[in-house]
Amino acid sequence: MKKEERERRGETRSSRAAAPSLASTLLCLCWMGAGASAPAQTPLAKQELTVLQGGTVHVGNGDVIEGGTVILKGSHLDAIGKALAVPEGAHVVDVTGRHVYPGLIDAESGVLLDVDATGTGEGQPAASIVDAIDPFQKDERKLAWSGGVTTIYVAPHRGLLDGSGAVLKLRPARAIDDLVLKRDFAVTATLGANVDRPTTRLREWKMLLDRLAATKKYMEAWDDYEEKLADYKKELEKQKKEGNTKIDKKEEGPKPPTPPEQRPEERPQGPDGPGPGGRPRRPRRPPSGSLLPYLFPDSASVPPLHLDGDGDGDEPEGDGHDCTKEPPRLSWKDGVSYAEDGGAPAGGEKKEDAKKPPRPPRDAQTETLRKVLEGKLTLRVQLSHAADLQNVLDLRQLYPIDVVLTGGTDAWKFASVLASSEIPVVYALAADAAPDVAAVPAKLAAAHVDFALTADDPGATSTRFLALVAAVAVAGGLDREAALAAITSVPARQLGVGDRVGTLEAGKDADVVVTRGELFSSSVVFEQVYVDGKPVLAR
Amino acid sequence: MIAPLLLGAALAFAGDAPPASESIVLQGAEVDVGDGNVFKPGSVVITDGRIAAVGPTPSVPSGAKVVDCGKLVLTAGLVDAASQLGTFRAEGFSEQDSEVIPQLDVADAIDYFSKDFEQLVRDGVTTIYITGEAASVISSRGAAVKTGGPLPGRKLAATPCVKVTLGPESSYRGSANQPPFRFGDLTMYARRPTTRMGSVWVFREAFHDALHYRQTGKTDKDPAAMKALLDVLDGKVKLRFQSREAADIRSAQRDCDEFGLPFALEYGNEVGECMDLVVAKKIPVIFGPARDGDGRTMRFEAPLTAWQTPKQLAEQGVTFCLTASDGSGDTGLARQAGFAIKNGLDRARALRAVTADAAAMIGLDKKIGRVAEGLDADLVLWNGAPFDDTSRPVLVLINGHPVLDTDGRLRKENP
Amino acid sequence: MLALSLAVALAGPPAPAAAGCPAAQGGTLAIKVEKIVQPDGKLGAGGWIVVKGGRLEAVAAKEAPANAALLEFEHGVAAPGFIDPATALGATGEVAEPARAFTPEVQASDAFDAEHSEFKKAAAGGITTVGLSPSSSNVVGGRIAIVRTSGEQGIAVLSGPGPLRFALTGAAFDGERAPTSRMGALPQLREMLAGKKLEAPGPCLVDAATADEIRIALETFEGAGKQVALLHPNGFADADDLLDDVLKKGAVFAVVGPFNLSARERELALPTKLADRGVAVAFTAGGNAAKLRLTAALAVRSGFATDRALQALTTVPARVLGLDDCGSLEAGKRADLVVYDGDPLDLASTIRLVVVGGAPQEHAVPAGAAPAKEKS
Repeated sequence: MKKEERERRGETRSSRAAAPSLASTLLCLCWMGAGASAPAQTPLAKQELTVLQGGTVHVGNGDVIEGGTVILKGSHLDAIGKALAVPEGAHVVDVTGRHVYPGLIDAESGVLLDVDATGTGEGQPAASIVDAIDPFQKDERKLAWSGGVTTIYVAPHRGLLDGSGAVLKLRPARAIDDLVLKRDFAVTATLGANVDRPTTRLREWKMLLDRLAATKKYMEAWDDYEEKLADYKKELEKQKKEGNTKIDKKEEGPKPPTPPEQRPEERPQGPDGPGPGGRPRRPRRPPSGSLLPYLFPDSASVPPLHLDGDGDGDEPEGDGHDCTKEPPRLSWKDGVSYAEDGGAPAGGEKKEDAKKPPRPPRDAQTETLRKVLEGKLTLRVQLSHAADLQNVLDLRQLYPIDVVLTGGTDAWKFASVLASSEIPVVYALAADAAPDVAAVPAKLAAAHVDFALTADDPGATSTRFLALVAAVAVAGGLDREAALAAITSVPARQLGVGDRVGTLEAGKDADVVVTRGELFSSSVVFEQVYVDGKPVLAR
Repeated sequence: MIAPLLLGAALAFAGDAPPASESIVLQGAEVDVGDGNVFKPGSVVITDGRIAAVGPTPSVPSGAKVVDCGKLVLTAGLVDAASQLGTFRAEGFSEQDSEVIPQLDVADAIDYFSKDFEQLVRDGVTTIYITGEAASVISSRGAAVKTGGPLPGRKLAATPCVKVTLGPESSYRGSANQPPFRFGDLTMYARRPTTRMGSVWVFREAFHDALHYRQTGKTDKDPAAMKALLDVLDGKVKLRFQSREAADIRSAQRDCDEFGLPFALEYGNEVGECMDLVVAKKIPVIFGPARDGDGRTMRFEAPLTAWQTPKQLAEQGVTFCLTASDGSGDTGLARQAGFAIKNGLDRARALRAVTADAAAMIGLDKKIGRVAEGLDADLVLWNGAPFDDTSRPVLVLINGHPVLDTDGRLRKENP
Repeated sequence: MLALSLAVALAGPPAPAAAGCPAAQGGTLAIKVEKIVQPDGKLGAGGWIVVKGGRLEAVAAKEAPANAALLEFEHGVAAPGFIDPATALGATGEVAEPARAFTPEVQASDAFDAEHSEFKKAAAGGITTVGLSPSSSNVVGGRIAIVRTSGEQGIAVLSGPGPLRFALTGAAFDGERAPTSRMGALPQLREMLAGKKLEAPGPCLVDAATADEIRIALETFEGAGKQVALLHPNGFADADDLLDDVLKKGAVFAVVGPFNLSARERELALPTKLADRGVAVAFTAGGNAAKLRLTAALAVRSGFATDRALQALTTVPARVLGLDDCGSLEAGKRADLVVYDGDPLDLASTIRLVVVGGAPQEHAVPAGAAPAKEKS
């Protein structure tokens, strides 16, 4: 704040002094700008080792070290403890009388997000929030640092089932990927009245359950397909061994011009002759299922084939994003055994007339939900009513999914259930909460619920006041170190980045906050903030 | 190329406030006084925010800072005598509770922090006279205000002047004058006249009411309004008619004849159609705004000759000036002068029409409008011949304070 | 009214002389705290605060009087009860009278609802006095009623004419009534201000949002020789460069807030900017105690000095409302005080005791969250 004020005053001075000349004014402003941003970077950036000495070190897991030392080595924490030896060549910063905290983590933030970009309407689970991040929003990053926040979770919020969220490290970066700690971490389901779609909770739950039921069916269809495919291939092997090379009488496609010695990656791309019945056919892979044994007698040695982009018109539908990264449940064998569209139904055939089973349609949105049902993606359920909470518990009975509750005003009513069923909570607390609401985190803690704290405010600006929100929980009876954990180590663990951030422990990222005054005091001043060992804020 | 030349100016204006006695001398390639005199080259001496001397080689006080303005051309700051900018658009300006509001003062509706003023400064306009809004038949008194500079000095004491609108705005029920729709027709807005006939009736009734008030000392109308109308009848407050069409001009003449009132015309798009009347009655005209292309302001039925009206007014010896009304930038006052020049008006006369003559129209010709000794140092430095399409103001001073920098940056802080 | 036994229970160590000796019945109450908020907003040394007959008899005394009921708070910080100068407490929708633009005769006390629960909530949250104000929908809105959120005789309106509320913002010109514009309203307003009708204790509270509304408000009221308390003068946030110039016109008070987590940087910097230029800043949050504390906390986080922030919750709003018997803990003043277990500006601090007009209040810390905190 003060620094900004200085900058602003300096700017005013300079423009006044330089008026009315364009050139000198501009030059002066440029110089001011450079002068303001440079010192934060250069002097310490050269220091491989930074030692913060003499502060009250709050580790973030409940431990407090009075007069402790924190050693930052490169981008990581080297050592934390009392009376540690100062390594040679280290840049020593005296933080006596100051408090040292791990970089705070906002478990639900709007920083760097374009509000419009995150609205996905009825829900597009296949979308990723990473595509809605604006890495050039430098001011928002600075604001977050000015409140000691260095890591955030961002997710779309408007649809019933939204795209997946991501964990971001707020570091000086120009590209989105530099910010992402973990992408595709969870899918958000938003329930309750505070979303702008015309619907009722009744209908919302029906829609959600229908989506999940459809996903289940989809999964079963694919499982069934794969099972049959395996049978089919086994049959092929068997027939091959028996010397019966005529596998599918109905497959009359001509032999591909591919010579046997051709490399797999040089497989034919274009039209290869008339199709069945002499009609010209669109580019299509030959009925490779039947030719496979000829082409690649030793199928185990065949390198995996890329699923997409082979121009065969058989790519799965949807955006293909997930499929590209991690072809779900498809081995290369599937790739080369695509059936003709509308191929003969599987089953009921004699073994001599073995048929490839028909391939079910692929859907990117459902693929994402499939990951949820398989436990690969967490389902973050944002809700506001206790009744919804009951529905979530029911849902968890129905499907073995990982659920995190966000929002959760009424969560304390179910505190013991949440604790016993090990459902983590991201509790959204209003900074102006009435005393009974402010007491909820304390109740959750008393019931041993695993909870993180965030602001009950969707805006980007609320992130920098995360400590104030935790302070309200302290007023409600929450232990101070537990409140600190709820904005550091707990969200780190919940977000699957507990090995990197969230506490001041050796080996973790050097995200460190030094304050004058205690974190939960209103008059706290965030003096220094380090991200990956680099000072990003100093006053 | 201009910036280095003005570095001297930069120094001169640096610092919080130049000492009161400090003088600044601007040396330009050309100083157009505004009364026909042009000095090439010429210099202007500014002391205490006023023009102390002007000429080819005026006597320079000792210790004065001399600024070489290179090839720039100096003129007086432009004056718009009938502007509609600089007020609260949303709720403050248009008083809707009566058709007759001469007791109200536009000065109360000025938003000194309006963005309009920034644009006006960019256009080289340093003083505007804001007239009442056309939504009332007898509107409020206008107010003159400088477009920039320190707040205390911005309001000017111009000749008080009330605007009358007989049509179409004062009887128009369209978007510009619409009552809040939620009240429907059963509102106080339903009293509004809907025809020119009705507007004329409101005008005449008001002055008859005022005369009645004078005789009896009683009125069922707002006494403050009646007093203000009596000031008009006594000649203490001038009358101005916003008339776009010739028919409006003729009915203005008829109505004023009834009460023996002199008046000026604002806009007067069709003044060419009744030039005989204007010449015979010596009616002053604040002409404009002419706009390019789509005829948004110039009514579509206005003949092409309307573009030549400024030239005709000059030839006929009519007292006139030009206005941009609510236009700025591409439809601003400098462009109005440019249009007039394109259509035959003499350059020097065009400059007068947006400076000295406009100042005279609002009774401020002893204070602003020319580059002459004793007047406010409201100056515009142009990077070419003023009003040419290729020219723009590169430095604007109000009361000697630079309000527009050479880089087009506005100086908002108080000097 | 009083629940002294409860207060004692919360205080921790039981006070021996408490039973049957409530201060409200004329007895003496002595409260021991560690720190006391001084009239200048700084935290000073603590001691015994002696309450008798609804007034403060002594502040920071070394010893408690012999016959007094005792309450001791180990880490207690005593602050004056907060004052919110412009609220619609208990009268939401009842203080907007849009029929006419000038309603100087209207009195907000006629909208007062003594039984409304919002007063109890405000008292529990540490707000002991509020201005119940007409809304901003009139140019002259009428008289503000000064309401004690609790007291010996219950929630009560202070008698006598209250301060006046004015508005020059858009809301005052909205509707089908004359005048429809600022230009139309100002002559009438000037005339009224020149007359005797608008005499009031304290400054005139004027809604003025944009920079020019602020300018014209100061010009108009100063012209009539009146002091102005600007309400919600957010226009200053966008007109830095003109702040000094406008304030020369004589702004004495500014009432700002509420702030929330979405507030812009410039908005949050406003209290500091105003205070640096000699304007006394008071906070308002519509009488919501949690919002009022958040407003102060956000201002402090943005650089507003803590002593100024405490004054903005106590002495300044008292002056805005023309009150001289509350807003500070000094002998002889009304016994409106709140004991926190830490700095009153820290959101982490909890209220341990609220005394309004000498009467200890039952307060709203929920049972489940018993203050089992231990401060290091």
